[in-house]
Formats: sequence, C-alpha cells, structure tokens
Amino acid sequence: MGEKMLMKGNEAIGEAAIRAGCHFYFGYPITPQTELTAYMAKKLLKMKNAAFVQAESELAAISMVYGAAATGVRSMTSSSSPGISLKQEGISYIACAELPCVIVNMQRGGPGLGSIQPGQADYFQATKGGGHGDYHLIVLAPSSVQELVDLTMDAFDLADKYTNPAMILGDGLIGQMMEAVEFKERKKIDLPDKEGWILTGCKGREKNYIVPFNLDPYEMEKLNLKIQEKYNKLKEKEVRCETVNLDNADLIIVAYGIVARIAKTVINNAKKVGINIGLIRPITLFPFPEKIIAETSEKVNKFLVVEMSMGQMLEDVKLAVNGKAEVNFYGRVGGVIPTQSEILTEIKKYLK
Amino acid sequence: MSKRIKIFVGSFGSGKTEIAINYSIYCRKSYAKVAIVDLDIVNPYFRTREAKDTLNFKDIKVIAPEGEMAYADLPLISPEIKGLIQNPDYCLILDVGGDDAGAVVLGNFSYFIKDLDYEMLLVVNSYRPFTQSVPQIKQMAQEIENTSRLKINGIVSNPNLSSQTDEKIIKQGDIVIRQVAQEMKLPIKFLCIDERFSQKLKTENFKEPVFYIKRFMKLPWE
Repeated sequence: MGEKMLMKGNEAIGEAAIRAGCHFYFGYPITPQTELTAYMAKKLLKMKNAAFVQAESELAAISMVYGAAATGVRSMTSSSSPGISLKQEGISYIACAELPCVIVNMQRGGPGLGSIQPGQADYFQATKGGGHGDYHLIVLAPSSVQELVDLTMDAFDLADKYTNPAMILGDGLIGQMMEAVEFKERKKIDLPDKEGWILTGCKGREKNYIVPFNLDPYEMEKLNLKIQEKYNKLKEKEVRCETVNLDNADLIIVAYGIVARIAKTVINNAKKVGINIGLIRPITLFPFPEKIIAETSEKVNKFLVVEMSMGQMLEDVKLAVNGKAEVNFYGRVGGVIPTQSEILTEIKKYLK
Repeated sequence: MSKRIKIFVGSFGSGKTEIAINYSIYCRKSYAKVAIVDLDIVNPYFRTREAKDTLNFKDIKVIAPEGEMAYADLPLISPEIKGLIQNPDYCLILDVGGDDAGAVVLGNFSYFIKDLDYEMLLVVNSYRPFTQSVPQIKQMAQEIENTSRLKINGIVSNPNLSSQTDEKIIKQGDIVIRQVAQEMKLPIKFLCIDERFSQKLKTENFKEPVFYIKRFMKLPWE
C-alpha cells in the first residue's frame, strides 16, 4: 500500500511520471495543463541526473524529448490542444525514428485558440496520426485521477515495449479536478533492452544512428511496413476498455474520459425510470476496442456515442458496428460539458 | 465577532475557495453587508465566481471578472476591490489564489490592508503535495507572507481526501497541522469538515472548533 494524497490530475501525471522513472521533462506552459509543467519544475530541479527545461516553444520542447529519447532515458512533454498542434512535426519524427516517449494532451475547447474549458475534439489528431505520414500514437484516455496515475506509468512501459510514442489524452477537467490517489508498488515487467540503439557515445563500439528518414524509397517503404507491424501487434495485444451493464441493455453509450464518468451517472438515473443502459468506455483510443463494440452490436441494436466534440470517435464506432445497429450521436463543444439530464433526454428520444 | 477583513491564503488546492464561500455565508448571519472577492488569477477552473448566483441569492456581493472574462485565466482585478477594503460597512472575504504566486495580487493591496482590522488565515490540507510535513507547511507560509507583505494570524485546518475522507483521515491529517500551529505560535481558527459528516462525528472528539463545509464546486457527474 502506498500513501494517499489529494491531487489535481495534472499534478498526479507529474508524480506518476517521475515514479515511472521519467526524469527528463521539456514543456511550455498552457492552460489547462500548466500545473503539470509547474510540478515537474518543482520536483525535477531538485533531483540529480534529471532535467527540467521550460523550452522557448512547443516545437523546441518536442525536439528536446526527441533528443532525450534517443539517449534511452524516459522523457515527457505535455501541452493542451493548440500546443499539441505545434508539436506534430516532432511527434511524426519520433514515430519514424521509433523512439519511446510520452506526450500529454489536456484538451481544451477548439478549434484555433478556442477556450480554456475542457474539450475532446483532438481525438482525430491523437488517434489518426496528427502529423504527416503513416503512423499512430498509443493513445490512453483516463477517466479518473487514479487512472491518470496508472495510465501514465503504463504509457512509459508501452512506449518502451513498442518503441513508439504514447499519448495521454485527457481534458482540462480531469487535469484540474482533485481526487485521492495512491501510488502503489508496481510489478517489474520485462522490457526490451535499449542498448542496441541508444546514442550514448560510441567509444569502443560501432556507431548507432537515429534518423527519421531513408532516402531510398524501397527502404523507406520497408520501414513503414515494420512500423505498421507494431500497430497490428498493438491491436492484437493492448486493447483496453471498461464495460458496464452490457447484458440486456436497451441502448449502449460509448464514451471515454470524463464523459464516461457522466454516462455512469446517467445509467443510474435511467435505471430509476426503467431504462436499461450499458456503457463501453474505451481506455485505449488507439488501439481502438472495435471487437467488443462489434460483438455488442450483434446483441443491442441502439448505440449513442457521447463526446465533447462534433463526432470524432463516432466514426470509429460506426466502423466497428458496421451497419449492424443504429448509431446516434450527442456532443457539446467549445468547452461545454454535456450534462446528465441532456444525455438522458437524448436517450429517451431514441427509445421511443 | 472577529475581524472585518478575512483573507484566506494557502497552497494551491488547499481548499481556500470552498472555505471562503462557506465562511462568507456564515458571516452574513452577523453582518448586514458581506462581500467576497475572487482574487484567484492562478486557477482556470473551480473558482468562487462559479458560485456567484448562489451567493447573490444569499445577498452576498461577489467581486469577480464578468461576462466572457469570467472564463479566462487573466489577471483581472476590479477597481471595486480597493473601495471595499476601505469601506467600514462591509465584512470582506478575500479568496486568494494558491501559493506565493497567487498571493502576488494580495501584495498589491497590502498597503491598504496592513493598518486595517484584518486577519489572514492559512488554509492547510496536509494530504496535498508540498504541504505534507511541518517544514513544508512552514516554508509555504513564509513564502506567502513574503509575497503578500501581510502577516498570517491563524490557521484553518482542512485535512481531507475529498470523497475518500473519513474520521481517521481527518484526525491523522490534523496532527501535523496542529504541530505547525504550535511551532508558528498561531491559533487554529477552526477545523473544516464536510457537512456529510455532521451527523456522524462528535465535535467533542476534536480539539478545535469544527466548521462544517458544504461543497459548491461540483463535478458534472455529482
């Protein structure tokens, strides 16, 4: 048993990252994730063999992560929506160079500079690549502060295991809200040895190269296929989701992050008026839990996807359902959070 | 009753806003005119302004950025604040932003406050990072005093783990805060306990006066 603390989501990510061995953080402040940058500054500047840099820009920060990751250390950067857009070039380079690192996006209302209230409209950007080229991030979507802790630690392991950047996709609310968290002792897991590729000075050995390119198109295609193979493995082995009340449900809500928290209250409220609602909450957004959604669509013929976007995850749900059930959508955007009663009203519309 | 101006300071996330809101409602019972000032320029969410309608309904004046600026995280300070500080008819509650960074704004008003009838209370939750031990809390207090250029006169003990709080958590967390109070030679003004415990706990079990808190900053699923 670890000690319990009352933490803001953003602080909890910082503490979890440090405990997962990430002692190199590079960032640039932006609301609503600045507490994470501040937490890393407070902690890492007092540690030995650690680095905290408030970079001159988001572009610089992601490039510093690229450099740190190339030396084999665990490193992280974080931002919120507009700042994550700025990091995309670097993220694509890191994915191409097959380096592990963790990127945190505490989403806010968009597009543009948007608002500083919470949003989920960066789903496409996070799960479909974001930058240029054929690549994916491993995308984890926590829905409580404790899960932020656990998934941040998992993100570093998954990044190392697949030598691929991983993203924590939260939103402003989960970053700002406070909940009790516990830092449990984690089981050691076997991770691939980094010795063969890291850049630590080549005295006495062959040089290692880390580059995000290959000028020979046939070799570049081979690299693409190799990276694709990792995504297939991720889809096969690393899909995670939470399901609630799938048996005999009249309708299934598909929601992630804090919206899934709201959906759970909706399930309880609906029960009181005799409506039986189920929930599928993807925890990994990439790889997406398409199998469980496909299986459920064989049994339940109505789905409602709820997001703080205009309907992004909706497309993945529709692909998984593949026409076997009716898929409806409810979304609020710009920083507005859907309420329990709005969602229940929406459900009633489809169950008439 | 105590001082006309009550200032709540403390580390980031220590519970100042909820306590300041509750305390302004409590003060309204003995003062005809009560105003609460949202001086928080550090937090983007969960600020006094979110309880504005409730407080206005209770005839408590709320000073906070208006309109779309209410949603911003900009250092907007109303000129009305200085007037209220100097108005002897008002019982004034200042909800200051967290840490020394949040107290910078208060430092700006210190010149007007320092000779008035004020008390500055340090809110401490010993389950928050950076205020878990006596030296950490003392350091936080020192930093806030330095930037605000005002003296802390008392401590508000607020040990809690939000929804996971129980009697043992409160008692255990209160021990370190009491130690701080002793070392800093400051009184503990009161111990905050969530009102959901009001029927379950005996106030005699606690050494300090108990102040029951109603939570105003709710999450969308609560």
